[in-house]
This record gives sequence, structure tokens and C-alpha cells, in this order.
Amino acid sequence: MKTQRVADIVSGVFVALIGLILCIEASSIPNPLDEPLHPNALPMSMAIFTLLMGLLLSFRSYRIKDSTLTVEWPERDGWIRNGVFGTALVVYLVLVPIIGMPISSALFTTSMIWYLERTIVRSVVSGVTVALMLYYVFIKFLELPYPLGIFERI
Amino acid sequence: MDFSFGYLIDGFITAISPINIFWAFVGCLIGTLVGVLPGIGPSSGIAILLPLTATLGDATGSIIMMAAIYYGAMYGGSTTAIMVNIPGEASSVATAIDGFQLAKQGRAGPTLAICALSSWVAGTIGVVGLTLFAPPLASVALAFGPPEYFALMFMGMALVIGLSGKALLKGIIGAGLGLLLSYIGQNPLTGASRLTFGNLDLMAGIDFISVIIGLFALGEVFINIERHVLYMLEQGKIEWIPRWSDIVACRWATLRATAIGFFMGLLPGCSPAVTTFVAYDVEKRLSKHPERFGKGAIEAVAAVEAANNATSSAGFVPLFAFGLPTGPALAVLLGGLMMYGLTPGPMLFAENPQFVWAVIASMYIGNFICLLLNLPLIGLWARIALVPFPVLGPLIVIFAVLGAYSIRFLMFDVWVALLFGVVGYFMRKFHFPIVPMILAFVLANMMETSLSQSLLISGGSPTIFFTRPIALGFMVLGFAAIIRGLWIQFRSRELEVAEEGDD
Repeated sequence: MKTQRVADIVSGVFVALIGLILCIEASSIPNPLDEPLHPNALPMSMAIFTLLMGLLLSFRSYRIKDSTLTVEWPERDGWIRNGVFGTALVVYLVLVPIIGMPISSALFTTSMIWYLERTIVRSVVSGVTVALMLYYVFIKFLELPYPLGIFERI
Repeated sequence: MDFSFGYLIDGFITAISPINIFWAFVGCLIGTLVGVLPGIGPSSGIAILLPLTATLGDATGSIIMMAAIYYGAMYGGSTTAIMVNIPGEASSVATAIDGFQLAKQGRAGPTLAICALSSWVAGTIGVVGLTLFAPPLASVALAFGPPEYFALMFMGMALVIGLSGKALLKGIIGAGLGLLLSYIGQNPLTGASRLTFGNLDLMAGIDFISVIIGLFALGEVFINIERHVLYMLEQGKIEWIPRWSDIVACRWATLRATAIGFFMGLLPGCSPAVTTFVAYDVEKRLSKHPERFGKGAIEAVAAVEAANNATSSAGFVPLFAFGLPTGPALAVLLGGLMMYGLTPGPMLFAENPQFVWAVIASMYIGNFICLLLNLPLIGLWARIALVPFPVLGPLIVIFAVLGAYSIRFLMFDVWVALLFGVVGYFMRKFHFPIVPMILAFVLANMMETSLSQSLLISGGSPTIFFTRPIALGFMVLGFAAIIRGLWIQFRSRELEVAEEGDD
């Protein structure tokens, strides 16, 4: 998908697929109270509308063959950075219920700052600050029920 | 409620007592800090801090503090929207569009100052409107029934045309997807689950805040990580104070948006999220340089903030006059009032005039306190732009995760935010405008509810939208905007590309 034209064609097809899936799902919505506006009316109509608009986007983009616009994909390093960052974010979210918000946030902050700028002191200080702030300001002072994971009982 | 100069003076005397000024100050401070936290909007902030106000032991002081928290939260929500592109609540989304661009240009200081000034002007004018015109204005609000609401929301959807820029078809697709997202969960009237695919988490629906946190904050972080951005600032220079030309340029935008925000804010259910987009669109259409909107037009930020605060003030009109809260935050405030044995409505003014006028007087003072509080903090907030992005990026993510989790204290909302972070990344790559999706999401619930109620009233006939004068007027305006926009767009033979400013 180097060119905008191809990206638009693919996006249009993707959107049309979403519309189709939601259309199928919407058809199963019941009307238990016999409402004049069936509960599936709006979801179904919007799903069909989205399907048609997706196809229209693909068709319209297909017809415009003289465009030179390109998609700004990143270089290899950019893909790697995004991949590492995204993976770390997923790991962070998986760890939150297990080891708690403060600790997992500290680990994420420390590791990502270190990864992006390779400074140990700043990354550790930032991570510790995040953990302390989360715990004492949000959990203790504001009494917001953020998860503490295995440290709940401590 | 009849306006009484004597009662207002008495109210000021009560409100400017040292202890009540102190509670207003504390409320503004706490409200601003709460507003800065994404996910914890004014309604959550008031609910969380309600027990704190109960410790004051004085109903007047407690309500003054609650109202100040509400105002302060409105101020605070714009700060993160401007500095780190995390709209703290729905009403800050329109602020983020131009505000964040201005921050990247090194103009965070002037932008935050203009926000504070326009908020103060709009909030003060709004309270004047509340003071003088509450009864007739509240009666106007009552003339709006479900058909009028639907027609108004339909006209609001026509804003998609203007907000899509050069990528109208993509904008329409975004709006369609936004509507579909809002339908996930339970039908607002029947409670039947829909588009949930049998998933229990989806039965609770997808929260708007997690979507905007993902689309705006996380999507932007991914883009900057990929580009190895070292500083959010696009240039080294940073401005701290607004130019006089900025203030002059924003004066009419502020006043127009105040009028829009105030009159629309009188309508129950018409939240700042809606009025801010309307004000933004109006300013873009009236501007001599509409191409600047989305790329850092300071008058856009002034208009949005003015509409936001005017709507907040207007919300007190039906609350005090009829006991009708116009939004979640005011519903919590209503609960707070009832907690102290005060039932808003016509009798409140007859039975407790001193209290009501003291609260109204405190709003003038609270607005001014918020301005005094926020102006010195501008330097602190603007310094965020000087933080290296390798440090700022992970902190933005932490903030975003906190915000998403704070909505309903469910990890599901955080995963939704991450998903929409990825969606936001690809939308930016493929030049899809983001704002139409958000606008549609905001309007969808009220549109559907009012449509269903209208059809119940009319026995299923859609002609109800064309036989009532106010509804007809809005429908005609909406259709005209859509047809005109479609005609202009489809005459073009270019690829659909949302420019960076169309977000």
C-alpha cells in the first residue's frame, strides 16, 4: 500500500467488510416490546450505509488513476520502535491486574524512557516518581480504586 | 424566580465572606486539577469530592465549593487537550484540534491564556444571563421536545460536512462508524443488547472517552515514536504570554461562541461536547482564513472554550428554575443540593432565596477565581512542551491509561483505548479525518433516543419532524448543508485526503 490510491481502495474494502459484519449482527437484534422503531433499524441502516460508503470509496479511488500521492510509511527503524513500544504497552496492560497499576506503570515508564533515549538515571527516577504519584495521590488521597494486584493485601 | 437586585446584593455579601471565598478557591483549585485528569470529568470529580464538601457543615459553602469544582473542571479539561492532545472529556475534543497544534508551534502559553480569558468572559456573561433571564429562557427550553432535539442533532450531523475538509466521503465513513460504535451495547429505550457479538464487556457499551483518548493521545504518540520525535515543539522558540493581536482577534469569536453555548446549553441534554463543535464550525465558516482551522487558529480555541463555559453556566438555568439537570455533572450537583435538603425548582427561590442568590453570586466570583488561578499556572503547563518526547511520550501513555481506566474502572476501557490508538494511527496514515467519527459518537445517543420518542409520539410517522416549526427549521438547515457539501465534494476528481489540519 505505497500509494494513497491503493490505501483508499483497501480502506474502502475494509470498511465495507465492517459494515457487512455489523449488518449480519444487527439482523439478530430482537424487538421484544414491538416498538415502532425496531431496535435494529438504526444499527442495520448505518451498517448498510457504511458498507455502501466503503464500496464507494474503493470504487472512486480505483477510478482516479493519475494520483501520485503516497502513504508516509516509516523506515525500518520506525517500524521497530513502534513495534517495541506497542508490545511494551500490551505487556503493561496485561501486568496491571497482576502486579498493580503503580508497579506496572513504573516498569513501563522506566523501560520505555530507557529504550527511547538510553538514560538510566532519568528513566529510573521517572518510573519511581510515577509509581509514588499513582499510589499516594490517586490511590491514597483521592481513594480511586486502581488495581494493586498481588500487593492488594499488603 | 424573579430577579431581585436586593437579593443579588445580599447574595454577594454572603458569597464574598472570607470563608465562602476560601471554599470557592479550594473548589476551583481541586476542580482544575480534577479537570486536568483525563477520564475524570466534572461529573466524576464532583461525585468523588462530594463527601469532602459534606465535611464543611454549611450548605451554602458546600454548594459554592461544588459549583466551583464544576467550573474549575471545565478550565482544567482544556489544559491536557492543548499540551498533550489528551482531551480530558468530550467538551475538550474541539479544543485539542487547534490547541495542540498551537502548542507544537511553541504557542502553548498564549493559547492557555486565551482559554482562560475566553472562559472567564463566557462564564461571566453566562451567569449574567442566568441572573436576569432564567425564567423566560427556561420556558424556551421547555418548548423543545423530542422532534426538536432530533432535528437539532440532525443539523449537528451536518457539521460533519465542514469538519471533513477535503475528505468528505472519508468523513462520512468516519461518522457512520462513529454512529455504529455508539450503538454497541444496550438499546437506550428497550435495554436489548445489540452489536455485542455475545460479549459481556460489549454489553456495557463502548465509552466515548476511551475512544477519544485512543484516537487523539495514543495515535499521536505512535506517530511521534515512529518519527523519533525528540521534542513536541516544532521549533525551538516558545511564547509565554499572548499578543494583544491574539486577544483582539479572538474577541468576536468569544462573544459569538458565548451566545451559541449559552442558548444551546439551556436545552436539557445538550452537552458542551455538542455546543463546542457547533461553535467551532460557525467560526470556521465565518473566518476569512478557514484553512487555518485545524492547523493552529487561536480564535478556534477561544470559541470552543467560550462555548464550553457558557454552556456550563446555562445549565444552571433549567436546574434552578425547574430542577432539570442538563447533563451528568449537573445531575450530580442536583444530588448534592438534595443532600442538603434543597430541592431545585420554582419553590427553591421562594423558600431559600438567600441561598440561591448566594450561589449565583459565588459563580461570578468563582469564574474570576478560576481566571486568577489559571493564569499563573500557564507557565507551569507550557513548560510541558520543553520536556523531551522520549520522556513525555511514556508519561502521556500512563496518563492516557489512567484516564481510560478511570471512566468505569474497567481494564476493558483501556484495551478499547489501545485499539483506537491503533485505529487513530492508521486513520492518520490514510488521511481519514478523526473528528467526524467523534462528533457522530457524541450525537448518536441523543439522536436515537429523541428519534424513538418522536416516533412514539407520532405513532411511527416521520412527518412529525416536518410539521413542527422549530424541528422543520433545523431539518431544512441540515439538509441544505448536506446537499451543498456533497455537491461541492463530488464535483472534485481528486483523491480524498484529509489534510493534517482536518483533524
